[in-house]
Amino acid sequence: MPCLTVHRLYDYLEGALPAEESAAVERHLEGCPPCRHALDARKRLAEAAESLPPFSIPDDFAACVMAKLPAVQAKKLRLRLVWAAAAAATIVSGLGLGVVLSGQSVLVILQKIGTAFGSYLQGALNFAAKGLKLLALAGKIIETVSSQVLAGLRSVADMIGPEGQAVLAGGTLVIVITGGMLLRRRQILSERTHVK
Amino acid sequence: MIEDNKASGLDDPILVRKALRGDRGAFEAIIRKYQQPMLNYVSRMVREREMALDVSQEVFLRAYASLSTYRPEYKFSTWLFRIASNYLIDHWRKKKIVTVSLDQPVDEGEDGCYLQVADESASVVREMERKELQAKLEAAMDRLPAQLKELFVWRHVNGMSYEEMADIKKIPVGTAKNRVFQAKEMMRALLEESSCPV
Repeated sequence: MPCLTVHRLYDYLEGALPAEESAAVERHLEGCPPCRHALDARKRLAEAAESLPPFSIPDDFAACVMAKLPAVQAKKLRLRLVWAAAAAATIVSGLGLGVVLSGQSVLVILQKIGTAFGSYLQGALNFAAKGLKLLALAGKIIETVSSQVLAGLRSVADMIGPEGQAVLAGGTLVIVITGGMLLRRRQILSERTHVK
Repeated sequence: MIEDNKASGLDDPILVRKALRGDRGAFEAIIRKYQQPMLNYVSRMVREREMALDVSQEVFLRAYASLSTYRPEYKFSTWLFRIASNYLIDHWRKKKIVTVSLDQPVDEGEDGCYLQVADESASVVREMERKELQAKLEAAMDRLPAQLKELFVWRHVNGMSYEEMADIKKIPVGTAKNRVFQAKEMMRALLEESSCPV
Protein backbone atom coordinates (compact mmCIF):
# COMPACT_ATOMS: atom_id res chain seq x y z
CA MET A 1 0.00 0.00 0.00
CA PRO A 2 1.40 3.47 -0.89
CA CYS A 3 1.67 6.17 1.75
CA LEU A 4 -1.56 7.81 2.86
CA THR A 5 -3.01 10.94 1.27
CA VAL A 6 -4.27 13.77 3.45
CA HIS A 7 -7.88 12.95 2.69
CA ARG A 8 -7.42 9.29 3.47
CA LEU A 9 -5.72 10.15 6.73
CA TYR A 10 -8.56 12.44 7.81
CA ASP A 11 -11.15 9.88 6.76
CA TYR A 12 -9.36 7.30 8.88
CA LEU A 13 -9.15 9.67 11.86
CA GLU A 14 -12.85 10.46 11.66
CA GLY A 15 -13.82 6.82 11.32
CA ALA A 16 -15.27 7.44 7.87
CA LEU A 17 -13.51 4.50 6.20
CA PRO A 18 -15.12 1.07 5.79
CA ALA A 19 -13.75 -1.57 8.21
CA GLU A 20 -11.66 -3.27 5.52
CA GLU A 21 -9.97 -0.04 4.37
CA SER A 22 -9.47 1.03 7.95
CA ALA A 23 -7.67 -2.24 8.70
CA ALA A 24 -5.48 -1.73 5.62
CA VAL A 25 -4.57 1.78 6.82
CA GLU A 26 -3.69 0.40 10.24
CA ARG A 27 -1.45 -2.24 8.67
CA HIS A 28 0.31 0.47 6.65
CA LEU A 29 0.72 2.69 9.69
CA GLU A 30 2.46 -0.09 11.60
CA GLY A 31 5.26 -0.18 9.06
CA CYS A 32 5.43 3.52 8.07
CA PRO A 33 6.77 5.94 10.73
CA PRO A 34 6.28 9.10 8.57
CA CYS A 35 2.58 8.32 8.07
CA ARG A 36 2.29 7.51 11.78
CA HIS A 37 3.79 10.88 12.65
CA ALA A 38 1.50 12.58 10.18
CA LEU A 39 -1.47 10.89 11.81
CA ASP A 40 -0.31 11.87 15.32
CA ALA A 41 0.13 15.48 14.26
CA ARG A 42 -3.37 15.72 12.84
CA LYS A 43 -4.82 13.92 15.82
CA ARG A 44 -3.17 16.40 18.19
CA LEU A 45 -4.44 19.35 16.19
CA ALA A 46 -8.01 18.04 16.36
CA GLU A 47 -7.70 17.22 20.07
CA ALA A 48 -6.29 20.65 20.87
CA ALA A 49 -9.09 22.34 18.93
CA GLU A 50 -11.73 20.25 20.66
CA SER A 51 -10.31 21.08 24.08
CA LEU A 52 -10.33 24.84 23.55
CA PRO A 53 -11.94 26.46 26.61
CA PRO A 54 -15.60 27.51 26.17
CA PHE A 55 -16.45 31.21 25.99
CA SER A 56 -17.19 32.54 29.46
CA ILE A 57 -20.72 33.96 29.22
CA PRO A 58 -21.81 36.76 31.57
CA ASP A 59 -24.66 35.65 33.84
CA ASP A 60 -26.95 38.35 32.55
CA PHE A 61 -26.47 37.64 28.83
CA ALA A 62 -29.93 36.11 28.30
CA ALA A 63 -31.55 38.82 30.43
CA CYS A 64 -29.82 41.52 28.33
CA VAL A 65 -31.15 39.99 25.10
CA MET A 66 -34.63 39.67 26.60
CA ALA A 67 -34.56 43.33 27.66
CA LYS A 68 -33.91 44.32 24.05
CA LEU A 69 -36.69 42.21 22.56
CA PRO A 70 -39.50 44.26 21.07
CA ALA A 71 -42.40 44.27 23.51
CA VAL A 72 -44.85 42.25 21.43
CA GLN A 73 -47.67 42.27 23.95
CA ALA A 74 -47.41 46.00 24.54
CA LYS A 75 -47.40 46.51 20.78
CA LYS A 76 -50.61 44.45 20.41
CA LEU A 77 -52.28 46.42 23.20
CA ARG A 78 -51.26 49.69 21.58
CA LEU A 79 -52.73 48.48 18.29
CA ARG A 80 -56.05 47.63 19.97
CA LEU A 81 -56.15 51.06 21.61
CA VAL A 82 -55.54 52.69 18.24
CA TRP A 83 -58.44 50.75 16.70
CA ALA A 84 -60.75 51.67 19.61
CA ALA A 85 -59.76 55.33 19.32
CA ALA A 86 -60.37 55.22 15.54
CA ALA A 87 -63.82 53.70 16.07
CA ALA A 88 -64.71 56.31 18.70
CA ALA A 89 -63.47 59.10 16.43
CA THR A 90 -65.60 57.76 13.55
CA ILE A 91 -68.75 57.71 15.72
CA VAL A 92 -68.14 61.19 17.08
CA SER A 93 -67.38 62.64 13.65
CA GLY A 94 -70.47 60.85 12.22
CA LEU A 95 -72.62 62.42 14.91
CA GLY A 96 -71.01 65.81 14.27
CA LEU A 97 -71.69 65.48 10.57
CA GLY A 98 -75.30 64.51 11.34
CA VAL A 99 -75.73 67.60 13.50
CA VAL A 100 -74.28 69.87 10.79
CA LEU A 101 -76.27 68.35 7.91
CA SER A 102 -79.63 67.92 9.64
CA GLY A 103 -79.43 70.94 11.90
CA GLN A 104 -80.81 68.80 14.77
CA SER A 105 -79.31 68.33 18.21
CA VAL A 106 -77.11 65.34 19.12
CA LEU A 107 -79.86 64.03 21.44
CA VAL A 108 -82.45 64.00 18.65
CA ILE A 109 -80.06 62.20 16.32
CA LEU A 110 -79.23 59.62 19.01
CA GLN A 111 -82.97 59.15 19.63
CA LYS A 112 -83.54 58.57 15.89
CA ILE A 113 -80.70 56.07 15.74
CA GLY A 114 -82.21 54.29 18.78
CA THR A 115 -85.66 54.19 17.15
CA ALA A 116 -84.22 52.84 13.87
CA PHE A 117 -82.20 50.22 15.76
CA GLY A 118 -85.33 49.26 17.75
CA SER A 119 -87.41 48.79 14.62
CA TYR A 120 -84.68 46.62 13.09
CA LEU A 121 -84.58 44.56 16.28
CA GLN A 122 -88.37 44.21 16.27
CA GLY A 123 -88.30 43.06 12.61
CA ALA A 124 -85.65 40.46 13.45
CA LEU A 125 -87.69 39.15 16.39
CA ASN A 126 -90.84 38.87 14.21
CA PHE A 127 -88.85 36.95 11.62
CA ALA A 128 -87.53 34.53 14.28
CA ALA A 129 -91.10 33.97 15.62
CA LYS A 130 -92.39 33.16 12.12
CA GLY A 131 -89.53 30.68 11.67
CA LEU A 132 -90.45 28.92 14.92
CA LYS A 133 -94.11 28.67 13.81
CA LEU A 134 -93.01 27.09 10.52
CA LEU A 135 -90.86 24.56 12.40
CA ALA A 136 -93.81 23.58 14.62
CA LEU A 137 -96.02 23.10 11.53
CA ALA A 138 -93.35 20.91 9.85
CA GLY A 139 -93.18 18.79 13.05
CA LYS A 140 -96.96 18.21 12.97
CA ILE A 141 -96.83 17.16 9.27
CA ILE A 142 -93.96 14.69 9.93
CA GLU A 143 -95.85 13.20 12.90
CA THR A 144 -99.03 12.64 10.81
CA VAL A 145 -97.13 11.12 7.86
CA SER A 146 -95.04 8.79 10.06
CA SER A 147 -98.15 7.51 11.96
CA GLN A 148 -99.84 6.74 8.62
CA VAL A 149 -96.70 4.93 7.32
CA LEU A 150 -96.52 2.85 10.51
CA ALA A 151 -100.24 1.93 10.20
CA GLY A 152 -99.62 0.87 6.55
CA LEU A 153 -96.64 -1.28 7.59
CA ARG A 154 -98.70 -2.96 10.32
CA SER A 155 -101.45 -3.89 7.82
CA VAL A 156 -98.82 -5.21 5.32
CA ALA A 157 -97.26 -7.34 8.10
CA ASP A 158 -100.68 -8.78 8.98
CA MET A 159 -101.27 -9.58 5.29
CA ILE A 160 -97.93 -11.41 4.61
CA GLY A 161 -97.93 -13.47 7.83
CA PRO A 162 -94.89 -14.59 9.94
CA GLU A 163 -93.04 -16.32 7.02
CA GLY A 164 -93.30 -13.26 4.81
CA GLN A 165 -92.08 -11.07 7.70
CA ALA A 166 -89.01 -13.31 8.12
CA VAL A 167 -88.20 -13.12 4.37
CA LEU A 168 -88.63 -9.33 4.40
CA ALA A 169 -86.36 -8.96 7.46
CA GLY A 170 -83.69 -11.18 5.88
CA GLY A 171 -83.81 -9.25 2.58
CA THR A 172 -83.51 -5.95 4.41
CA LEU A 173 -80.49 -7.26 6.35
CA VAL A 174 -78.78 -8.37 3.11
CA ILE A 175 -79.42 -4.98 1.48
CA VAL A 176 -78.03 -3.12 4.54
CA ILE A 177 -74.86 -5.27 4.72
CA THR A 178 -74.20 -4.99 0.94
CA GLY A 179 -74.73 -1.23 1.06
CA GLY A 180 -72.33 -0.91 4.01
CA MET A 181 -69.63 -2.92 2.21
CA LEU A 182 -69.99 -0.83 -0.93
CA LEU A 183 -69.69 2.37 1.03
CA ARG A 184 -66.56 1.09 2.84
CA ARG A 185 -64.98 0.08 -0.48
CA ARG A 186 -65.65 3.52 -1.89
CA GLN A 187 -64.10 5.14 1.18
CA ILE A 188 -60.94 3.01 0.88
CA LEU A 189 -60.59 3.88 -2.81
CA SER A 190 -61.02 7.54 -2.01
CA GLU A 191 -58.31 7.37 0.73
CA ARG A 192 -55.89 5.68 -1.70
CA THR A 193 -56.49 8.44 -4.24
CA HIS A 194 -55.76 11.05 -1.62
CA VAL A 195 -52.54 9.36 -0.61
CA LYS A 196 -51.33 9.45 -4.20
CA MET B 1 -29.56 28.39 34.40
CA ILE B 2 -31.48 26.57 31.68
CA GLU B 3 -32.32 23.68 34.06
CA ASP B 4 -34.19 26.07 36.32
CA ASN B 5 -36.51 27.21 33.59
CA LYS B 6 -39.76 25.29 33.23
CA ALA B 7 -39.76 25.76 29.47
CA SER B 8 -36.20 24.54 28.98
CA GLY B 9 -37.09 20.85 28.85
CA LEU B 10 -39.33 21.36 25.83
CA ASP B 11 -38.41 20.65 22.21
CA ASP B 12 -37.31 23.56 20.07
CA PRO B 13 -40.43 23.63 17.83
CA ILE B 14 -42.65 23.75 20.95
CA LEU B 15 -40.56 26.55 22.43
CA VAL B 16 -40.78 28.44 19.14
CA ARG B 17 -44.57 28.00 18.99
CA LYS B 18 -44.89 29.27 22.57
CA ALA B 19 -42.59 32.20 21.84
CA LEU B 20 -44.68 33.10 18.79
CA ARG B 21 -47.76 33.18 21.03
CA GLY B 22 -46.02 35.79 23.16
CA ASP B 23 -44.45 33.52 25.81
CA ARG B 24 -41.21 35.39 26.51
CA GLY B 25 -40.02 32.67 28.89
CA ALA B 26 -39.96 30.22 25.99
CA PHE B 27 -37.66 32.47 23.99
CA GLU B 28 -35.46 32.99 27.02
CA ALA B 29 -35.17 29.18 27.28
CA ILE B 30 -34.03 29.12 23.63
CA ILE B 31 -31.38 31.75 24.36
CA ARG B 32 -30.11 29.86 27.41
CA LYS B 33 -29.98 26.63 25.43
CA TYR B 34 -27.97 28.06 22.53
CA GLN B 35 -25.94 30.90 24.09
CA GLN B 36 -22.90 28.70 24.82
CA PRO B 37 -22.50 27.11 21.34
CA MET B 38 -23.35 30.46 19.74
CA LEU B 39 -20.75 32.37 21.72
CA ASN B 40 -18.14 29.63 21.28
CA TYR B 41 -18.62 30.08 17.54
CA VAL B 42 -18.99 33.86 17.33
CA SER B 43 -16.12 34.57 19.72
CA ARG B 44 -13.75 32.57 17.51
CA MET B 45 -14.99 34.42 14.46
CA VAL B 46 -14.70 37.99 15.74
CA ARG B 47 -12.08 37.48 18.48
CA GLU B 48 -13.05 40.52 20.58
CA ARG B 49 -15.07 39.62 23.64
CA GLU B 50 -17.40 42.63 23.59
CA MET B 51 -17.92 42.32 19.87
CA ALA B 52 -18.75 38.61 20.27
CA LEU B 53 -21.36 39.44 22.90
CA ASP B 54 -22.87 42.19 20.71
CA VAL B 55 -22.96 39.99 17.61
CA SER B 56 -24.51 37.06 19.49
CA GLN B 57 -27.10 39.36 21.02
CA GLU B 58 -27.97 40.69 17.58
CA VAL B 59 -28.24 37.14 16.21
CA PHE B 60 -30.79 36.21 18.89
CA LEU B 61 -32.73 39.43 18.25
CA ARG B 62 -32.81 38.68 14.53
CA ALA B 63 -33.92 35.13 15.26
CA TYR B 64 -36.76 36.49 17.40
CA ALA B 65 -37.80 38.93 14.70
CA SER B 66 -38.01 36.19 12.07
CA LEU B 67 -39.21 33.37 14.32
CA SER B 68 -42.38 32.97 12.26
CA THR B 69 -40.25 31.91 9.26
CA TYR B 70 -38.75 28.92 11.14
CA ARG B 71 -40.19 25.62 9.91
CA PRO B 72 -40.30 22.90 12.57
CA GLU B 73 -39.35 20.12 10.14
CA TYR B 74 -35.79 21.50 10.16
CA LYS B 75 -33.33 21.58 13.04
CA PHE B 76 -33.59 24.81 15.00
CA SER B 77 -29.83 24.96 15.55
CA THR B 78 -29.28 24.84 11.76
CA TRP B 79 -31.69 27.73 11.27
CA LEU B 80 -30.13 29.75 14.11
CA PHE B 81 -26.53 29.21 12.99
CA ARG B 82 -27.49 30.18 9.44
CA ILE B 83 -28.72 33.51 10.78
CA ALA B 84 -25.43 33.90 12.68
CA SER B 85 -23.34 32.97 9.65
CA ASN B 86 -25.21 35.40 7.38
CA TYR B 87 -24.88 38.12 9.99
CA LEU B 88 -21.13 37.57 10.17
CA ILE B 89 -20.83 37.66 6.36
CA ASP B 90 -22.54 41.08 6.41
CA HIS B 91 -20.25 42.11 9.23
CA TRP B 92 -17.14 41.14 7.25
CA ARG B 93 -18.45 42.84 4.11
CA LYS B 94 -18.92 46.06 6.04
CA LYS B 95 -15.44 45.71 7.50
CA LYS B 96 -14.14 44.81 4.02
CA ILE B 97 -12.25 41.78 5.26
CA VAL B 98 -10.48 40.04 2.40
CA THR B 99 -11.41 36.42 1.91
CA VAL B 100 -9.73 33.84 -0.30
CA SER B 101 -11.28 31.69 -2.96
CA LEU B 102 -12.48 28.35 -1.68
CA ASP B 103 -12.64 26.70 -5.06
CA GLN B 104 -9.18 25.16 -4.86
CA PRO B 105 -9.03 21.71 -3.32
CA VAL B 106 -6.59 20.85 -0.55
CA ASP B 107 -3.15 21.12 -2.09
CA GLU B 108 -2.10 17.53 -2.35
CA GLY B 109 0.93 18.06 -4.61
CA GLU B 110 1.70 16.21 -7.80
CA ASP B 111 1.58 12.80 -6.20
CA GLY B 112 -1.57 13.26 -4.20
CA CYS B 113 0.23 14.71 -1.18
CA TYR B 114 1.96 11.74 0.34
CA LEU B 115 3.12 12.63 3.76
CA GLN B 116 6.63 11.35 4.30
CA VAL B 117 8.45 14.64 3.74
CA ALA B 118 6.07 17.16 5.30
CA ASP B 119 5.74 15.47 8.63
CA GLU B 120 9.33 14.69 9.59
CA SER B 121 9.18 17.40 12.23
CA ALA B 122 5.87 16.30 13.74
CA SER B 123 7.40 14.42 16.64
CA VAL B 124 9.11 17.60 17.89
CA VAL B 125 5.89 18.83 19.50
CA ARG B 126 5.05 15.69 21.41
CA GLU B 127 6.05 17.36 24.70
CA MET B 128 4.36 20.66 24.01
CA GLU B 129 1.94 21.69 26.71
CA ARG B 130 -1.72 21.66 25.62
CA LYS B 131 -2.29 25.21 26.77
CA GLU B 132 0.60 26.50 24.73
CA LEU B 133 -0.71 24.64 21.73
CA GLN B 134 -4.19 26.01 22.31
CA ALA B 135 -2.88 29.57 22.43
CA LYS B 136 -0.99 29.05 19.19
CA LEU B 137 -4.02 27.36 17.73
CA GLU B 138 -6.22 30.37 18.50
CA ALA B 139 -3.63 32.62 16.90
CA ALA B 140 -3.39 30.39 13.83
CA MET B 141 -7.18 30.27 13.59
CA ASP B 142 -7.23 34.04 13.35
CA ARG B 143 -5.15 33.83 10.21
CA LEU B 144 -7.49 31.45 8.42
CA PRO B 145 -9.83 32.83 5.77
CA ALA B 146 -13.19 33.50 7.44
CA GLN B 147 -15.11 30.83 5.53
CA LEU B 148 -12.60 28.14 6.40
CA LYS B 149 -12.36 29.26 10.00
CA GLU B 150 -16.13 29.10 10.33
CA LEU B 151 -16.30 25.47 9.24
CA PHE B 152 -13.26 24.54 11.34
CA VAL B 153 -14.89 26.06 14.43
CA TRP B 154 -18.22 24.37 13.76
CA ARG B 155 -16.52 21.02 13.36
CA HIS B 156 -13.96 21.09 16.13
CA VAL B 157 -15.33 23.57 18.67
CA ASN B 158 -19.08 23.10 18.22
CA GLY B 159 -18.81 19.43 17.27
CA MET B 160 -21.20 19.72 14.32
CA SER B 161 -21.60 17.00 11.73
CA TYR B 162 -20.62 17.66 8.12
CA GLU B 163 -24.30 17.22 7.18
CA GLU B 164 -25.38 19.98 9.55
CA MET B 165 -22.65 22.33 8.34
CA ALA B 166 -23.67 21.61 4.75
CA ASP B 167 -27.29 22.42 5.65
CA ILE B 168 -26.36 25.71 7.27
CA LYS B 169 -24.18 26.86 4.38
CA LYS B 170 -26.38 25.23 1.72
CA ILE B 171 -23.39 23.46 0.17
CA PRO B 172 -22.79 19.76 -0.62
CA VAL B 173 -21.53 17.61 2.27
CA GLY B 174 -18.35 16.81 0.32
CA THR B 175 -17.60 20.52 -0.03
CA ALA B 176 -18.05 21.06 3.70
CA LYS B 177 -15.71 18.18 4.40
CA ASN B 178 -13.09 19.46 1.94
CA ARG B 179 -13.18 22.91 3.47
CA VAL B 180 -12.62 21.52 6.95
CA PHE B 181 -9.66 19.45 5.68
CA GLN B 182 -8.34 22.54 3.89
CA ALA B 183 -8.65 24.57 7.10
CA LYS B 184 -6.82 21.92 9.10
CA GLU B 185 -3.98 21.68 6.64
CA MET B 186 -3.68 25.45 6.56
CA MET B 187 -3.66 25.52 10.36
CA ARG B 188 -0.89 22.96 10.43
CA ALA B 189 1.15 25.01 8.01
CA LEU B 190 0.58 28.15 10.07
CA LEU B 191 1.56 26.37 13.28
CA GLU B 192 4.70 25.09 11.62
CA GLU B 193 5.52 28.64 10.54
CA SER B 194 5.13 29.81 14.11
CA SER B 195 7.64 27.20 15.26
CA CYS B 196 4.89 25.00 16.55
CA PRO B 197 4.91 22.17 14.07
CA VAL B 198 2.11 19.73 14.69
